[in-house]
Amino acid sequence: MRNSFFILMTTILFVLPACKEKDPTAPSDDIEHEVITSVTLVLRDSVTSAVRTASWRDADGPGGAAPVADTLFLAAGRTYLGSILLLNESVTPTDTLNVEIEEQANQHQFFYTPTGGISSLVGIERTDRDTNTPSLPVGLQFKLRTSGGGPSTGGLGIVLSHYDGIPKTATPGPESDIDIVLVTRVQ
Amino acid sequence: MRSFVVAVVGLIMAAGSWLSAQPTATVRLTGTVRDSATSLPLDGASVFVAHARTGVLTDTEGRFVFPSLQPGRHEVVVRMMGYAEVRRTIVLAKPTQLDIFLVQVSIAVRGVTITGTVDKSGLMGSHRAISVVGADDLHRLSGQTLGETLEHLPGVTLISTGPSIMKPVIRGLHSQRIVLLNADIRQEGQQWGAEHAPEIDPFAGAGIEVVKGPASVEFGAEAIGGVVRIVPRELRRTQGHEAELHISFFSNNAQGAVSGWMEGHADVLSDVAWRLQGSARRAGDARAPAYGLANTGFSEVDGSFTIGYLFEAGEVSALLSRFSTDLGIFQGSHIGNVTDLRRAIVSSRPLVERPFSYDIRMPKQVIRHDLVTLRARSLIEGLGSLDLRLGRQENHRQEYDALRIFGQIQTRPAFDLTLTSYTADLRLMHLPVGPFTGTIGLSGTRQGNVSEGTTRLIPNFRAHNVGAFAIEEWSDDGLRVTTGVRLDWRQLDIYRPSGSAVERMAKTYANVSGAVGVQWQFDPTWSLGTNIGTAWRPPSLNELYSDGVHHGSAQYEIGDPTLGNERSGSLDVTLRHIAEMVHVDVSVFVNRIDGFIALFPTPDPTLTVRGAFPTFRYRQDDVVMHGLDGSAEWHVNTVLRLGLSGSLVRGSIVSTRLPMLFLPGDRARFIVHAKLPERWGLTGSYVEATVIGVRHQGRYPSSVDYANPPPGYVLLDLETGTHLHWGEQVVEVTLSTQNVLNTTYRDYLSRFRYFSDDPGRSFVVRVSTSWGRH
Repeated sequence: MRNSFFILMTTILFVLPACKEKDPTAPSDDIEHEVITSVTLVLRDSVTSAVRTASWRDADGPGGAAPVADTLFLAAGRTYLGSILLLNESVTPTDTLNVEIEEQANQHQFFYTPTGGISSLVGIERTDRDTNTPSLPVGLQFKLRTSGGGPSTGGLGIVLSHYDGIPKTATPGPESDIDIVLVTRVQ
Repeated sequence: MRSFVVAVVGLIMAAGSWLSAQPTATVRLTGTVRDSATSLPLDGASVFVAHARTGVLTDTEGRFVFPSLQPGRHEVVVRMMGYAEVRRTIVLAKPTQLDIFLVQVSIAVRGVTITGTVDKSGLMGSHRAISVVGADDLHRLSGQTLGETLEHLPGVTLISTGPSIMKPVIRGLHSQRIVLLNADIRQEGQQWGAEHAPEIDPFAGAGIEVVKGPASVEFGAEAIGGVVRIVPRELRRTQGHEAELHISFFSNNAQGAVSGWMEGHADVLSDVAWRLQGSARRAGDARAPAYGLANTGFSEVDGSFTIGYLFEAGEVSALLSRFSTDLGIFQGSHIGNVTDLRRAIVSSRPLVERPFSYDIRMPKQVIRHDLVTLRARSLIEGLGSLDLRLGRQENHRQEYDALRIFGQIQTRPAFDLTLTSYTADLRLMHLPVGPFTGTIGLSGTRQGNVSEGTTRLIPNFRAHNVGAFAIEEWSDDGLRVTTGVRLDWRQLDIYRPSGSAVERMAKTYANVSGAVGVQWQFDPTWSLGTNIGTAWRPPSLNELYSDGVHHGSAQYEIGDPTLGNERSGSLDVTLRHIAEMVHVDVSVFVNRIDGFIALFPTPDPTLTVRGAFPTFRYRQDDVVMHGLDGSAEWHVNTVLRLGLSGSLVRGSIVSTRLPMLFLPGDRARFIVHAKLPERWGLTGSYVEATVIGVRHQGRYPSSVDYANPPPGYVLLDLETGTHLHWGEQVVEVTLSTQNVLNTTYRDYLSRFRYFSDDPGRSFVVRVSTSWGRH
């Protein structure tokens, strides 16, 4: 009996180091980078059909190189038909993320807030609606109006709010997927 | 509310003084007698209580019992052939456990040592500041986490991440600055994270011991702040079986918990003993006084099996244990950026609420910790007692982030870390050499960490540690001097992907720890312990390599691969008084840590698509911490007992004199305990009220934290307990209420204080019983 006990113990002793162990010397590079690497506003002048764009880019995701952003130039006294384009350029081919927002429109909402010198010159009305009851704006499409006056410089705040597990409301939710500011000049 | 507390306390004191008119109760004295070199129980030793003129012989397990002695001072005399006689003066005020070690005549130089690590009175002989949670205390805390079971000890506070994740903080230090010992093997997990609770079932052992202050000589470099040791229960040395069962229920989060163990000394295989132990807990969403805390439920299942072969000169044993838990993380703490965090702080209610549920959704943690140990202990003729412990542990931590990108459910965890550690410890408790006794030891660890989640907060690494130490003790009448020194060497290899290749970085850390302790028993009831030591700690992986947003705290954290070691110099002094009616245990300490690693804000935020995140870098500064902790107990009479304990910690950065961030607020705990007379066949009944007061932390660096420390608070807990008898079977029942007044409060060290109040009132029912106990 004692012998069998010692055999058991010895077995444990030898089995112990032989247990499978993951190898740390071969790290996987299987990291999911922040999906949104660029945000672009595309504005079409309702009269002239001239197109203006302005982008915010952070090619390497959070940290590393700082993001770069264009200044958005707007003419005074115009109406623009606007849309926002979200891309993940860290993968090939580039992934257009607008599709996901359209599919999840009932849990997402964009908020556009003119600030600083343009806060009284720019008005934005979101034109697309979700299928909630009552229906709420989504904000992938919008109408941007500039009043006469200027020239003046300010910021256009863009927030994408995500309502995860809670009802979508007219105010921003507890979690922001996007929160950036584009320097904007009305002239 | 304060007047209510005063009224309750007054009422209990009045009841106590009325009850004290009852006849004087007797006190039970139990204990064991063991061989000092082998720790083996001594069968047939005679134990006399001189004053009471009564004596008994120890049984085969070395145990003795005096069921009813008069309270007061007694002289206990222990004799056995071939061993030096021992005389010991004790003061009996409550049931006491006395563990006596006899020294063989041939090697007897210093009489006797009283230890008994799970017993408060045994601490008289320690030069260290130690607090213990004994087996009885553990019964009264069943169903709670390791952190919660330690929270009532002076000098220990909690850092919490919601109601399910609690980590002990010892004198203001926690996480990678504390060593946890489970089954006497160093617990190796991802200790560095404040939201990573210890993967230990506190009910696996016979009690819990907390060493406050550095204990690096015995336990290695990380023990710069202290040690929490789950004191293992020894295997049964006599034939028979024994079992214990604890069941508890908590109303606040509708938590049910069960914990128990069985042990036996097999009849079939003589000399083989075994022990089976397990715990399970399941809880739903907790509730703050004004609202529910969505997704704060948890489930936990732990178990262990020990088997050992016991022989005259020692034992060989093996342990298999698993800890596994799923922890929900409060949904209201789930934010995307700083604006969200500010909005959550300003809001009076969490921004996400849901009806009560047991559902554990994302964000959540899924953790498993497996441990296998093999231990061999034997007396070697002419050398001493040799103890070898081998261990393999695998810590698997998965943290699921609720951060969904456009509603795509992240099926992969954000963190997925597997840490495998092999440890070997060899210790020799050598026979006296001249006037010295002591222990020399060698330990080695090999670790591999594999990171597989969608983010890489810490990289893959392979680490090798080797340590060697010696502790020697010299003692004379009433005076004991202990000195120890340890050498540690750590080789760290980091593996990071670099394009299609692997980049390897090697780092080596080596250093010395040392300590001198003096314990002076200048009176039978008074002792003074002093410990002077120096310890060090290499930087942890997150301090070296983190680079990313810490969700929940909305800060961007950047490590520094060039960080060096922390080096501490510490002094603590503990005064103990154990007399008939009064027990006092007070420690003062000062701890200077040079190169203390902490996060410091940098002026430029990190810009991301989610907004600007305040950015913190790990940096080293010299800090000085000092403080006071202690407890006092006054047995007013045989019925009424009053207790007071408290802790104070101060810490500041030497160069700037700025206070350190996140030090616990001053706190005090006042207990009124009254025994109730036997009635309706109920024995051992009592009522107890506890008032916990925590002061506002007024010392903090300004404009670093998003929200200033919350105001102080006062909580009231009430408890009553009794023993029911059904024939031979004794069932212990306790009913208690935590936070009786449903006080709304936020603790400064609650990491969710930005988002929600701490949990409110909870009614707790606990039932325990045992079988086979004599």
